[in-house]
Amino acid sequence: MPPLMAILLLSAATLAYEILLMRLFLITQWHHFSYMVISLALLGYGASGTFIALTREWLLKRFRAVFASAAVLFGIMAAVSYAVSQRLPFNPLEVVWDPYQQLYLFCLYLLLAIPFFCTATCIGLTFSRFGERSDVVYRYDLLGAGIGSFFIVAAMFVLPLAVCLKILSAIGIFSAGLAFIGQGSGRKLAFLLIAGGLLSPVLWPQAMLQLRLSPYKGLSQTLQIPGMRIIKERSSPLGSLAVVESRRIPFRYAPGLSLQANFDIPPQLAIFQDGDSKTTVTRYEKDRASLAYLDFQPSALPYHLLHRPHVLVLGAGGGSDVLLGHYHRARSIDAVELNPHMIDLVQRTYADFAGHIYDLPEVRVHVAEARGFVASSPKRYHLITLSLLDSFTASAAGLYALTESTLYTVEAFETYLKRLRPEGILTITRWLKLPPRDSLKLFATAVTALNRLGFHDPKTRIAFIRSWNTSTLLVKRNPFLPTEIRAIKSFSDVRGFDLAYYPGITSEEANRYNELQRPYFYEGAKALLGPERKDFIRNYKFHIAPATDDRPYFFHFFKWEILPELLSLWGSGGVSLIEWGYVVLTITLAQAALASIVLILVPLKALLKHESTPAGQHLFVRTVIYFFGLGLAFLFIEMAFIQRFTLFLSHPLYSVAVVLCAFLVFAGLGSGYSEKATKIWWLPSNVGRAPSPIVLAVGGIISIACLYLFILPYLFEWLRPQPQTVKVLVSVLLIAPLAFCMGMPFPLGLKRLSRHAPGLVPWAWGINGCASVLSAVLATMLAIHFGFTVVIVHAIVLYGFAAIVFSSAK
Amino acid sequence: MLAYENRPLPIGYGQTISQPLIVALMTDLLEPKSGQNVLEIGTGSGYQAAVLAELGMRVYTMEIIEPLAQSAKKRLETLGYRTITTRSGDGYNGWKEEAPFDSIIVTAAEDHIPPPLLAQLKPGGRMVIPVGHRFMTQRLVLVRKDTKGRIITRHLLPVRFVPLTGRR
Repeated sequence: MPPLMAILLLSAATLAYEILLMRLFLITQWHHFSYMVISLALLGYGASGTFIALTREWLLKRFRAVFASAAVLFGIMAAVSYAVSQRLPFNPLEVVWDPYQQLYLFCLYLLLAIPFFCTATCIGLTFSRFGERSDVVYRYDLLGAGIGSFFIVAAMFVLPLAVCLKILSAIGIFSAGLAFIGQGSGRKLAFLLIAGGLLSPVLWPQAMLQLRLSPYKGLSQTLQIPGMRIIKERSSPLGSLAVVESRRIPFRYAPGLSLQANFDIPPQLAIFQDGDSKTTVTRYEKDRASLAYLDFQPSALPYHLLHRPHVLVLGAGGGSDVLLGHYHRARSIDAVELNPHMIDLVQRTYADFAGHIYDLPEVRVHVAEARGFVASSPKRYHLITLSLLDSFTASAAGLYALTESTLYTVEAFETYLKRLRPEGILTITRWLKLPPRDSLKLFATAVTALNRLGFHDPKTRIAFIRSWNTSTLLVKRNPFLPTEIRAIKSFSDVRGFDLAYYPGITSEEANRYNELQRPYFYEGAKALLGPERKDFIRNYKFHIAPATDDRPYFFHFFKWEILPELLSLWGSGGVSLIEWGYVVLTITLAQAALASIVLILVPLKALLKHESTPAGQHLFVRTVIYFFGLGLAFLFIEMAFIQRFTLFLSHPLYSVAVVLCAFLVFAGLGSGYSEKATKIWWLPSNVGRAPSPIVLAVGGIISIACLYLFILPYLFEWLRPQPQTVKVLVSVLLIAPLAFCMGMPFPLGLKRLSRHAPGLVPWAWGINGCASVLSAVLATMLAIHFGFTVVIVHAIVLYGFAAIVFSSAK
Repeated sequence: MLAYENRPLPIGYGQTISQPLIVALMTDLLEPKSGQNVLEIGTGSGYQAAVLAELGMRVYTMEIIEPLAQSAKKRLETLGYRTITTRSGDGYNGWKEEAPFDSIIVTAAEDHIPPPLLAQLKPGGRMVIPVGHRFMTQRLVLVRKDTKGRIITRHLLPVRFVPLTGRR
């Protein structure tokens, strides 16, 4: 009997561990490096396949002992690997300069691969030992992973991350005990391991698992300053918030403040999200004059064109934009913020300090994802504003390149513009980058959105100004009036801001106060509004074509064509112009591909020697194609659907939790059903007449995926006004049949292998593991370049090809 | 030796010393003249202050991280720099007692340029601010105050990277 409960728990703990590591590394380091490290660590799955393939006979003779040892090792190493990785002097920011850092990075890979290797060894060995029951083993594996993904997201809401880590470690040891239950001789050991698992969370030293922030993150830097201290911390999967108070040296956060301004900035509290992105809560004592400095930031411009507007603030954070609206006596302010902890800090914990700004009569606070809120809100606004939602340093280094954002896509702009009153303004403020990238991409996005809404003279509806460090884009439904243009000019002139574009601008006006070598922003704006738009976007050295919902990578600016030029300027500053997120993705893909080839090829010689049956040899190439194809395709579909459902569920976190859990659980159920499918369709008397169950399952996947490609956009639009619970239910129901079919091909293939070439089972498991790792990286790269629709199409083709190749085997 | 690697180097406390090329560019942008006084906000290791002192400037340098300020002070004293005055503390309000300055270097101005520093810059004076990631400085901002007190900035890329629309 396979140790099914142990597999379920181990699988749950391992997927939860992967998600938890992502969070932990995101807090202590940066997004793209955590992505790289964890992607590579997952190759532990591929390595375990190779390991089992080479030592299969020896391991199988000691199945229970090896299983339990690997499970215990997972439990221990889940915590130890992380603790040691925290102590490595690894600084990702120096990787390009310092060869030692590359060595540390390699050590990180090895260290973090150990827990994944252990779990994969348990599961791979079980497949090998119980090949005929691979459907049941796979079902428990997937069900466990589904439960794990849901559990960890829920756990991160209520437990500190270090405690989550201890629990996952305990589950590993506990599940080792479960593997011995029912085995007469191992009862004592089972009891000891279960007790050890239960006790282990209190045994880990507290200091060992404490998070160690990179000294180069904003929070670490701030805490170096005398008198700074963290006074409150809140953590959830949406982000870890740290409130910092300054006793001696005040915070003075005023992005893009005019050089002509000479105001005092009131005392502030800083709130850091995941150790970096900073927002501030400003002390307000009902004295509007104390907020005068806000009127000297570029984001104040729309208030000089509108009289007492109805305002929608997207990404309210600590409330600066709400204060700006209050300063200008906005009639109403809807403040939307994703993180409820952020709202709670401003509205309750520090309400007195903040002057109860979120309880002012004109202010309504909404905990919601910005895009989803705008789409479902019936209200129309005079002003919709998005300001500096990402941190300055990360933005400057291109660290967001891999981050999907549905806030800055063409479809998003259309949604915002539709919610504006005819005279209304959409305004977006961003950090200034040179050479210009994101602000020109935003400009291009606005032009496309206006065109798609039927406004064929966008040049009359856009204005664009910049300070020395930020830029502000204004987009209107109606053309700008002469009075408004006068207000824009006067506002900018008084504050020393440069006009980059307004209807009727001349080149002499474009580069007066904050001089650039050329008036890049003005030239870019003119080109994007003129007939040379397409050529300009194509020839520009950075990727500034608008992002869309299908390719929601707004922060991706990298073009391969300019890499040689940048590298040739390495020592003189060229390195700073490379968007590192994308480069890291490419390096990750190359490393994963190389490691996969090695892991797949290493056991080949041994396998060839052992697998002497003709049927087995016949299956060699087909095994590679089939299990590699399945590994790629499964994750392609999963990742693309997470992205599709993010817009529908209005929340990236709900999407990940619901879609991942539903996919894994229903695929697990489908895996269990594959046994029945075999009995119905794969009877010896039917061979040659009925299609094989693999073909049927893959036929189901292809049909449903194709159908969803066409109907989901309409279905989502139709169901958008429904309450969240209905949307979650609909999502699960939609995913169920697709995932159910996707759970079948893998165990069906394994079963067939175990019948004809049992020696290939662990190899197939390893190949599938390698492919899954490559898949995650490859899907992101495909989506960046071609969009998520193409990712789904690739998955469909891969499933089809794999099924044809494997089913046609004799 | 490390200077010849021409790369940013960590100096502890999450701080870095800019790559020598950037230090040279910043120094050049200030158009230093012997006898002028210069305010530096962000002493770091003291390297930039030493470069300016070597050019004959009187350097007033402030560092907010106390251990860094102390080690830089000791280092500069040991090396015999008599024209450098160090102080630990918040640079936002500048150094009123020694103002106005012919030039100012600010190494940590992310969201805005402190108005008190602009006020302490002499008419005709120059201020330089490196902007961007600390391991990869993206650009330098030169702030000039003209004789009428009008403030103009100029953005300079350390890299010769033109034209932007390569094939056109």
